[in-house]
Amino acid sequence: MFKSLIYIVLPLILSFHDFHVTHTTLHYNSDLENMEITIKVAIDDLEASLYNNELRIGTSTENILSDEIIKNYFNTHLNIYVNNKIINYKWIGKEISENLHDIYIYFEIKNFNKNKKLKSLTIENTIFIETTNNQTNIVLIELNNNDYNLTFTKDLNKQNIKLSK
Amino acid sequence: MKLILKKTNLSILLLFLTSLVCAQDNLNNSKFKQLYEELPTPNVYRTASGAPGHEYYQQKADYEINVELDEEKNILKGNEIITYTNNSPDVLNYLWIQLDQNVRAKNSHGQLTSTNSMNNKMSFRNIKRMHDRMDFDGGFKLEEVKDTYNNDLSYIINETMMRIELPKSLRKGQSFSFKIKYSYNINDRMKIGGRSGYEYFEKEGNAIYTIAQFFPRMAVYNEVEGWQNKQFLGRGEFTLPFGDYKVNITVPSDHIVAATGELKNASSVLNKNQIKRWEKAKKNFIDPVIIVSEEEAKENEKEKSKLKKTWTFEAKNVRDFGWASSRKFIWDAMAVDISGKTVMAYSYYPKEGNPLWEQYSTRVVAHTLKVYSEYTIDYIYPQATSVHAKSIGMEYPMICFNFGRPESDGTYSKRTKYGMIGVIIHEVGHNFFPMIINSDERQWTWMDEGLNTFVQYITEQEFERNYPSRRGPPNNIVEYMKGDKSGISPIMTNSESILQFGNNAYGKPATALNILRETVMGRELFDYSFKTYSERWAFKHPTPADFFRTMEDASAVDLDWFWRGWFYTNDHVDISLDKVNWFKINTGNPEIENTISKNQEENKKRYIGISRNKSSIKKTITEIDDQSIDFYTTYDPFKTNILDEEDYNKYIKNLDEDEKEILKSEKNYYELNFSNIGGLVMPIILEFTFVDLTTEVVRIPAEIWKKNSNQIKKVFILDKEIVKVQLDPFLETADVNLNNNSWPARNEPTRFQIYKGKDRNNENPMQRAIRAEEKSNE
Repeated sequence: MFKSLIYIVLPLILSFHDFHVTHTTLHYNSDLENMEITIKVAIDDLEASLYNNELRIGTSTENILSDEIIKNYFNTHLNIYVNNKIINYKWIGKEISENLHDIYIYFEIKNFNKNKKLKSLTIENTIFIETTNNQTNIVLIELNNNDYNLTFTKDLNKQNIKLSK
Repeated sequence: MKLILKKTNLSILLLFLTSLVCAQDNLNNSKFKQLYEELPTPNVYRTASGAPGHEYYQQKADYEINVELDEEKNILKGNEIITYTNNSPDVLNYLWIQLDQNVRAKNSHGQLTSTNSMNNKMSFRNIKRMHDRMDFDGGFKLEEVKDTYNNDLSYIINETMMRIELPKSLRKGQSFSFKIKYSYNINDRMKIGGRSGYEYFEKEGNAIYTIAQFFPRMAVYNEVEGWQNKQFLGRGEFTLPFGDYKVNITVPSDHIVAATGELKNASSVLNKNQIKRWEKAKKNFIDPVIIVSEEEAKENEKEKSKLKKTWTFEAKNVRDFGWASSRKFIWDAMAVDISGKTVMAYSYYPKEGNPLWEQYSTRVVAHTLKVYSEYTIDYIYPQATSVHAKSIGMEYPMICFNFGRPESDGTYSKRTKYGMIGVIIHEVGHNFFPMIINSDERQWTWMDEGLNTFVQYITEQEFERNYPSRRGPPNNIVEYMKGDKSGISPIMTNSESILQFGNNAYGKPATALNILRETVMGRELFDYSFKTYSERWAFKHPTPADFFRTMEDASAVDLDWFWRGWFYTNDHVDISLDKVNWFKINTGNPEIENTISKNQEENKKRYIGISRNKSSIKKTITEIDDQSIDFYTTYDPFKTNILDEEDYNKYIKNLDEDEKEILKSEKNYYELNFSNIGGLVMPIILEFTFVDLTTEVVRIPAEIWKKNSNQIKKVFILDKEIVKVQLDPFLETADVNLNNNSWPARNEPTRFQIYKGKDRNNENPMQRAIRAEEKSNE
């Protein structure tokens, strides 16, 4: 049986489908001192990027390893550096959006600002850039009362934010 | 501090606080400034009311097309006669023809200008597609361009546009006919993409052809753009004049063909059984009738005929033509009653589309035609067709290509089901915008995609209660609108330059219209105006100004501020309820006021030492020793004396009756302070919760911001004391920050926090349902 080799991504196309934007929110929860990470991506884009894995998200035959596969993917493609040191984050879970188009993926970094030593924050975001030419990845960082809004593309995939005191 | 409200103070308090409009550069930068500078000056072609003017004209292009599909080589060969009629007052010396297939030619501008870059993380698959695209020998190959006397016409090709020199100038009312003979290689759209092309099914060696932009087409000439000869680069779709089509399509004799228009030679391409079933379908308004069944299609695709058949279709007053052909097609049909007229709904799909397609496609087509007819104009074409085409959604007059393919075992996810129904509604809906209400897609994607996505939302909600619509409700657009502004372009941006295409041209305009309908104008005024726009511009070429003006003209709602903010800027909505001040009128009566003051004093927060001393210090000196007492020791500032009473009586005597009435009413005065952080001015919707837990909703039009768009105050006179105020309680303004919308302040939990707080298991609903069924069968 013909396995669809190619999904739709190139600009030369369609009138309905989506246009390759992901949204990531890093919300610092000052009560718990945790960094709460929410990544919203189109299920089509995620499945296309991981096409070897046949995720079949939300179907009765969803890959039983899908959580693990997704976790590994984002651990590689969304890197967070605190004071120039890469930080690991913990898998919390995933859920399909109400409109069924997207999937929300949740991670958490415990004790994010331990000892108040946060000086610099660097994000490296290469989500889906290996599969689509015109990928845009938007990251919103909510750190106490300061918001930082960043846009990542294939050519601008690493950005540092200066932390205001 | 106590506030004594006298007559003058009271009236001041009831006004909005109006500080100066920012005027740094001495220009009128008001968000309520009229759009005179942005909109074109009304003229005899387009009026200030948004209707076509008394001199409005449009050109006509009629086509006779013959095409033949070569299934072995995937080549389409064609010849056509175009008859172009000049209805403009202008003399034309040349014609512009669109050669859209050239976007796939090697080194086309579409390819050259699509930016890409390399990096070390590109997948093999992505690189392979770059090769496939660059290696494909696409584009029209023209064999001849002649007039009807077979004289060669002089022409020049500039990328996707061709200019033909007219032998004689074409004046108003005159027509010119010419012939083009051509061929092109059909693209494998699963490999290199495309709105049209073929999908190959390797197992049986068959393909589904979904064919469009398959003939050189006339460009639009009008008083807005002159010739619309902006190149086709890939994003900005099509701008086409109306005309009549006669199309002969020659395909292998075992193919079934779906197309724009009506089949004119059914008896020579369909068998008797099929014609019988089709006739039955024309009278069946309840559910679809199968004309070619799955079993018949499975049988049909086993072998390939070497013979050919020609299908003849005709369509009147359409702007384009599309078709699909395959020996894999199942075909079903039902009749739809549109204001007493019968319209046919058709679906064509392979067995791979089932069971979803047989159950839903034609029903959804019928439902879409009915709902859109109600909100726009009655659908007047004879039929509407939905063709199964993996991975895409694309529209043409009376026919569209739609995704939605179940798994090979016949199961499908909820997402596949609702995605398919959504795309069919959307693409069938395109019959109205832009196929009938024919806006310029090359310039403005939002005019068809945005308006269509808006009616799609209504249609989805009427299909199933709480249908999981992607676009329409205001809170779905919040994530986009609060994003990094460098990644957001205003809606009024040319189709090719739009950033975040889906959100910009589909989601945001659809949401904006929804907000107009539910919050700014109300359903009755909105629906009338939207219908008026549809009626005025059906089978014509509207521009953004015609839409903006009609919506105001038909409703008497000045919407310039709304168009300015939502369509011309990338601002977002973030209104903050900063402060709530509570006032009660000072009665002036010392008996009452002194008691209040005394209570306030006693209820003040106190230093802990004072409370402890109350019991630990048994007696103080002044309590033991009378001699230590003087006037100040026993003075009670809250005690009323005769002089206070006299003052009060004098005060009362000077009040007139109305003032005494107010004094007696014991109203609560709440002064609410708002600031506009996002930039967009919006209506203020408030929900007050009172001490007895009853609620009241107050709706204030956006004009409250007319003198100061940054900060305002507003006073509410209420009988009861309030315990809570909620701004935008029904999530109708797309406010991006809900944390500054309540008093007392309250932080809304984030999606992350809600998810983390939920009990959950790792099963999805379908897996769990299957397990439950297994268990109950045990």
